[in-house]
Amino acid sequence: MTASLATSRSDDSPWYIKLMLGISGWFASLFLFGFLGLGFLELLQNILASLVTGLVLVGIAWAILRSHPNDFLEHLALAISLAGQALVIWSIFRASNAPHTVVPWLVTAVFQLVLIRIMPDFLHRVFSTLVASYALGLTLMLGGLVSVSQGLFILLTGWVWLKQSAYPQHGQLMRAAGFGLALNLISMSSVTVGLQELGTVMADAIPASAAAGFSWFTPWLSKSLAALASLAVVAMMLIHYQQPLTHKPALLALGGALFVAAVAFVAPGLNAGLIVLLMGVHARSRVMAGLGLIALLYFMSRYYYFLGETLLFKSASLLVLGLLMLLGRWLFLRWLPRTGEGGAHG
Amino acid sequence: MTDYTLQDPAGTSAEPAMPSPRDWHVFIDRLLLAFGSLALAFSLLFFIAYNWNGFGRLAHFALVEAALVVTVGLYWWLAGRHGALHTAPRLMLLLASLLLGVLLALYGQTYQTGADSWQLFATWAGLMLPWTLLGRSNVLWLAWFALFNLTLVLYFQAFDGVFWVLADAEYGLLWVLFEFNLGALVLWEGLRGELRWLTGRWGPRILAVAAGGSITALALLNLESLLLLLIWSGWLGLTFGVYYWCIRDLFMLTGCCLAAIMVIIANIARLVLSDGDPSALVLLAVATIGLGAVSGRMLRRIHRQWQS
Repeated sequence: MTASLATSRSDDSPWYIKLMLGISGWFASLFLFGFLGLGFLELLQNILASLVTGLVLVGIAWAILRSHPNDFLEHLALAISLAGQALVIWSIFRASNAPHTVVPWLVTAVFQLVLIRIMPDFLHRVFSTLVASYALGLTLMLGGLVSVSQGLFILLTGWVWLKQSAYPQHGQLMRAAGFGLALNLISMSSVTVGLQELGTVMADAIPASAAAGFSWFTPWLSKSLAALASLAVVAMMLIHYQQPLTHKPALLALGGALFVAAVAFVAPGLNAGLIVLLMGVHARSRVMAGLGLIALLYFMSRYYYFLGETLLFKSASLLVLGLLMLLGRWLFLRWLPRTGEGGAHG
Repeated sequence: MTDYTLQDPAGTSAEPAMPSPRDWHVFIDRLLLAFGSLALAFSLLFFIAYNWNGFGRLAHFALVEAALVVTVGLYWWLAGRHGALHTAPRLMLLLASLLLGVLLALYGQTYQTGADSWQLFATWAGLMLPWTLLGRSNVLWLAWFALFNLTLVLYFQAFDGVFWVLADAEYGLLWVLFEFNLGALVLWEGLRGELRWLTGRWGPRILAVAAGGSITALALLNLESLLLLLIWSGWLGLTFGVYYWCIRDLFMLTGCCLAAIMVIIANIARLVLSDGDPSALVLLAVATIGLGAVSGRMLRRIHRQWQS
């Protein structure tokens, strides 16, 4: 892909303009899909016809996006592509005849990965990353590897954000993928936390058929891998900032990450929030940093909301947590005064 | 004329400079301070809510009041040391305001005053006001506005309010939220030049989203009402004009465009979808894309124009 194709005109506009364009594109694709679904009912009945139509629509969108379109055509392409993708994914699932198996989800993930690579459009790439990572997460879940997914996505998110400067020719792709992965990480962690709550609250109440899907879910493994992944991302970050891992700032940062990882064993999801927050500060993106902060507060409140302990226990644990954080701050300011050289993260 | 758009990190430029060690230092310092203090405040909240019998009524009050006094004391000390506009003293005032709510809730719980919850929140907002005035902080003011919005919502849940000037019985709450947040927005923007601490754009932006969201929701819920459409159009034109000519803020202009797209599309949908012909959906899709593209093009042109 040439550099001129890698960046489109909307790249330099603020996030809220992109959000507005994304919302209108999404509504337009809903209208288009509604038209295809209502107007051509027989199309949806025939797998081959709907697959071909879907691919043709995606192809048209690709051709428009490649040709440096004006604004109207650019958004038309987005809407056409979304409607086309819906048709393709519909056919994939109709053809496999077994939505609760690995294959259709894996095919969907691969399809979206191809779109991330070829579609020269920021919004399209964010959307495709989100769908690809959901499909990949479900593939892992149905393949019995659900415990791996949170750790894997933490690593992927960290890697994509930290490696932005290493692939300047794919700047737009990496940044869009970074946003998509961060959104996925937070929403997927929320689902994982939900599974754990379900596991503890209704251990006996889940019907056998539904439990079969979750039987591979091992909370301790999932949490350990997420903790390791989050420590690995912080270590990667320290290397990126050229901080020797044995020096004080790096040790403090790793200590901080270890503390969060330890708390995350009781309040899962915190690792995901921390990584999104750190990547937001690293990339100087207020949207990402804000997302990370909200995620941290959300997972913390969710833990306390579902905690089956007395309010006295909740109160005491928060007291300890608060004092530890203030003590940590005091030590941090003492050991690394602001005028001192070097930086710390975590 | 001030240009705020340039202070906005686009969030998507290809290769931003990495933050300096000092940036990270400030970030970690504030994060630990804010989360640590918040954890302590919620620890106290849970302890009071636990309502431990071994801990008498007087002790409960003494605990909350002591925490309140300590927090206010810390504010004075920190304000004297770092200046009142430093993060730490402002955070203490925010915590003190939170503890005030705990104290009021405890009072209501202990003496079973029979007051509605809106009265609790109204009292809270009233008692918090002096600290908010003293704190000179955007966050504190936003917290206060949020509290007052909540009071209004609870009040309408209790009464289905009838006292308000423009409050149509059915949509009274939306009207009042619009009026209040618009008033707050006008005040904020008006005082911005006088009060130097009133910096940053997030305060007015949140207020504008609250006001604009309410009036747009009203317009969408009453598509047949010509009067509402006129009021909504007036609001839209005025907001766009102010943020284009007087205070340059692209976020506000984007919000106006989104509101306009929603109301226009909803009106077209009302007209064309009634006969159940699916091809009308194509018209809606094209109209949505067209409006989005025109808005995007215009906003980006303004963005470039302001940058150069």
